[in-house]
Amino acid sequence: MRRAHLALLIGVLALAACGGETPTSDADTPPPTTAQATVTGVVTDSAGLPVSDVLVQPRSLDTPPHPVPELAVLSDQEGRYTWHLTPGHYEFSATKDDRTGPPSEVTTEAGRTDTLDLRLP
Amino acid sequence: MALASALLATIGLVSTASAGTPKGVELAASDTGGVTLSAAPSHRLRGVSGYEGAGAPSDVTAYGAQRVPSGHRITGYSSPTGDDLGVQSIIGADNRVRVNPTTSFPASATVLITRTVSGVERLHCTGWMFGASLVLTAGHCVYNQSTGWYTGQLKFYPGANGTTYPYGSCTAATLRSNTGWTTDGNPDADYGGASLNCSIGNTTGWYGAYWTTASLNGTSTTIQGYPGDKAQQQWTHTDQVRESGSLRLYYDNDTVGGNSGSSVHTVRASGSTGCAGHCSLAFHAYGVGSNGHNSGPRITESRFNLVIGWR
Repeated sequence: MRRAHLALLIGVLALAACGGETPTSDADTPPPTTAQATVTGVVTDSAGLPVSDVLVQPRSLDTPPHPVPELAVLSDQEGRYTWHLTPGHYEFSATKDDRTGPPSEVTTEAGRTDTLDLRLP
Repeated sequence: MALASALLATIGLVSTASAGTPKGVELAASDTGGVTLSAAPSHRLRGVSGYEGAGAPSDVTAYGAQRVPSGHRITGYSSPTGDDLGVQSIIGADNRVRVNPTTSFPASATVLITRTVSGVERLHCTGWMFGASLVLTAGHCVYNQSTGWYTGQLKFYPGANGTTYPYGSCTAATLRSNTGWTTDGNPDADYGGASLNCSIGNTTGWYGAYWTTASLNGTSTTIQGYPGDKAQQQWTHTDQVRESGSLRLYYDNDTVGGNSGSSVHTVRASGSTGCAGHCSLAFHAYGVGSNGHNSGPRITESRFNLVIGWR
């Protein structure tokens, strides 16, 4: 019995040793993509015109908050931005030069794309 | 592997001292003594020192890099007033300091990563040289759970300084990460890298790195990289480890989107065991979390061995 317990312990430890962190690369067969939440929208100015190169940053409003990757996500020429995030409740803000727009909130779900347009003053 | 090794050592089945040592890695028994097989094992530490490089080259093409003309446009946000963004990953006052010039180590080995989508190249992340042709960064800078690998979209500019690029640019031959990130999407495993089509690290130098089983609480942490509000300029801030998780470190360095992938490093005295000089402890990845600190995956024994294998 004691030997069986030891074998079980070794098995558990071997699994822990793997740690789920096998090296992988873009030369390997791609893993299946996971359904994250997607938030996309257009940043406009006070005249309603799209604004490019706006830094769009989310903040998790959940308790406890979800970790937010510190990527630089900037709006494109049409003012459009896209974030892929862990599903949850977020507040987004848009900043360019010395202007920061009012934050807007969105609650997201896995596999769903929510539209959240942002405004710069 | 670290957990298993420690536990196996504790129950007396194997000696952790017999673990294979990757090429070029200095093995240090511990900060506190040798490895023991007792119920209260000593802390272990292993690492590799960095290389300060050969200085700014007269011709980057000698290292396989592309020349980048001064003024080359990378789209990014800039704050002419330097106003605080008010984002949550600036903790308290914004205490970041600009690094200028960027041709001294470790600035030279700190890498601006851009991503080109629909023909427009934009600031994306930060990375750090860890060999002649290897850049390490956050996993989410090379692989997105929804869209997959960023193959063919990334460019790497070591030591970029606003609109000047003293080390040119390189592209990736291979993007790298681990299944903890690519399959499981585990933030604790959010690290990756890129093997470059150049050997620019021979002139930029590269960071060292080490792992230890000891707590790192109180160890100084410097994050040096390319925040999205600073127009491709390199900025730095120093704090300290506030919490040591087994797989993640927590600190209060001021960061902004774009700092992802920066080395979280400390400076160790010449002759220190394992790693001396600028030594990475973690990969910066996340803004303020549930405990009020910024964070990144910690360099553990298995992660250290994994990224050494990418060299």
